[in-house]
Amino acid sequence: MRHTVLVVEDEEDLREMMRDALELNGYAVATAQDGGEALAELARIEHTCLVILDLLMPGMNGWDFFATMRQRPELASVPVVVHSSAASRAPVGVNRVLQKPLELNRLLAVVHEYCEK
Amino acid sequence: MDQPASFVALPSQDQNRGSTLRTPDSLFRLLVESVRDYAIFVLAPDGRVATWNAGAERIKGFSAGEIIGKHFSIFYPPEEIAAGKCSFALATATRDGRFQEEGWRVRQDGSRFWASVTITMLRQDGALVGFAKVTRDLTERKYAEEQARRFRLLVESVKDYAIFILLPDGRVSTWNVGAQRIKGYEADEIIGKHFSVFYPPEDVEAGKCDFELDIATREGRFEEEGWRVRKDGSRFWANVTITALRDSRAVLVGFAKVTRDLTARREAEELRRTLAVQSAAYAEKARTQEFQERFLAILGHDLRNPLASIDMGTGLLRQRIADPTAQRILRRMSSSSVRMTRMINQILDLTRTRLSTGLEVDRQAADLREAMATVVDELRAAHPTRTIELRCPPLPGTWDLDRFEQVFSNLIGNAVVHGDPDAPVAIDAVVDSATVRIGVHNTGAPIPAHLQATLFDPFRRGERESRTLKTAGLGLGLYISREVVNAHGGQLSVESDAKHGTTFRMLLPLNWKPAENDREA
Repeated sequence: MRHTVLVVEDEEDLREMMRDALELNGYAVATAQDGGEALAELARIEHTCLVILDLLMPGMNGWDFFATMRQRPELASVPVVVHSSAASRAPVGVNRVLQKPLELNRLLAVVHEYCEK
Repeated sequence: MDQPASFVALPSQDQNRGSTLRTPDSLFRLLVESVRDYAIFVLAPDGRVATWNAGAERIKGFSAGEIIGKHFSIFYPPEEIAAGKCSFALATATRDGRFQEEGWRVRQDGSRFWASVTITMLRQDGALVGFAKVTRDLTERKYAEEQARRFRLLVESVKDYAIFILLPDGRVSTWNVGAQRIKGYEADEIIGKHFSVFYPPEDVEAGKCDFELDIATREGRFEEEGWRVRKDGSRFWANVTITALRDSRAVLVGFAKVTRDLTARREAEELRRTLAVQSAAYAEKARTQEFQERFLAILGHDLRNPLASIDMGTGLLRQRIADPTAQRILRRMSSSSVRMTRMINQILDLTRTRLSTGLEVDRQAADLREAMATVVDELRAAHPTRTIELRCPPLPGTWDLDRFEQVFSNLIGNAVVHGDPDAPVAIDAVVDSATVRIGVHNTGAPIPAHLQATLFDPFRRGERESRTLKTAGLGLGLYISREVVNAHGGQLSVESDAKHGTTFRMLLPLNWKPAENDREA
């Protein structure tokens, strides 16, 4: 079964680059530019295998999004990898923390752990 | 009233009607009748009014026709009549020849006036024929005296002002409660002393006291604020007014000196000024802090996002393009992106060490050997012709391994790049119960002595001048390495000479815990 990676990133260049990188490597990708959009995407996507989450975003930030996710039973178990320049301040309970900027191969390796192509 | 010694014969007012000269008696009668400032009249022995003059009419209000024949008690307030004052006055005059007093009397209209009264017994041939009564209206003087008395009481009781009088030569002649309170002297200690005792010695020496009296004498008034001295020697900040006092002929009779203690006000003003300065400093600090935080945010976040995008894009292209030239270009782009990331991280670290936030270290239970091994493996892979020897026991403790990878990458990387290419780079670690000692050693040309002193300073010239592709950097590596070691409670130093080569020595306490406020400071 092909599952979807949700990339939550406010900077458009990086967000679209990650979409390309993952799609070109065979993954289904959805994107959102803040926490609010990400919650809407999660409601729409049938099965999310991983959320790659930026923290510093306008609108709903990464910390609030993660707290909201963990309060909802249907989302509480979705894996979350933080990809941020504020990695040292990542919320407790995320599956992994990656410091920006991230090399392509490391990104692919992490996604490979959680998602099938 | 004394009888005049002589009379000058004056022409009569009736001379036009028949010229006759007045006799001394008639002149005297005329004088008495026309005097307006004194009530002068005669009482019969029983106290009834027998004569009346213009002054009596003016002062008491009755006309001669209204009053002659009436008892003189009509001039007294009821309470004095009841107290027998009228009988007493006549009895005293009869006994002593004269009765004199000041007291309240009543006018025809019921109003009272303060009267000076003299009653003189009149005898003719040894027999009492009546009394001469002379009354003067002193109400205005009485009021003036009363006001002066009240004013004196007021001045004497004022506590907040020192109000006193100086003689023309500057000696104190009066003293009030306020002066006693402010200056500390009792009245009997200070009256007669020169007022220079209230001034600091340097002011007295500079002639300030004479100067102030001189100004007050010439201009009528002198005012200033300045330091004054209390009896106990302490100083207070005073507002001083000196006013020249002159009599009706404009002769200087002294000075009124009013002094207020403004020490509290001055202190409040100084406190307000200090607070204003402090609050400006706080505002400035807040602005600086806001600027610093913004700067760190740009450095840490805004610059890294586009770099992440470039990095990922080059990776993606390298994955998809087989052309060797394109691959070489993409490798260079990738390497530049890595260097750029490293520089951003270093500037961020430098900025944090220089700002209040300090360098962040995230200490976790870990084996420090792992950080060394990771770096050594990477360097061996990057420099397959070089020998890197690692002699290190396990080093369990609480370490920020990412930070130590940064430190070892810098120290061992430097040794590989700058050391003799034919000799090994050696990393030796020994541990005792409390301390880890790590040495990173290479042979080859020593670090020039003039560079050793500033080797750990940020933006060192040495590193920047000797830049090669591999060492190109900002000259922050050793500075940050030392900061990381310091943040773990340790020390980092260097020894370098031609004979022994170069050794970076690191001393790390095993069970060190940062003080509570270290992270906050």
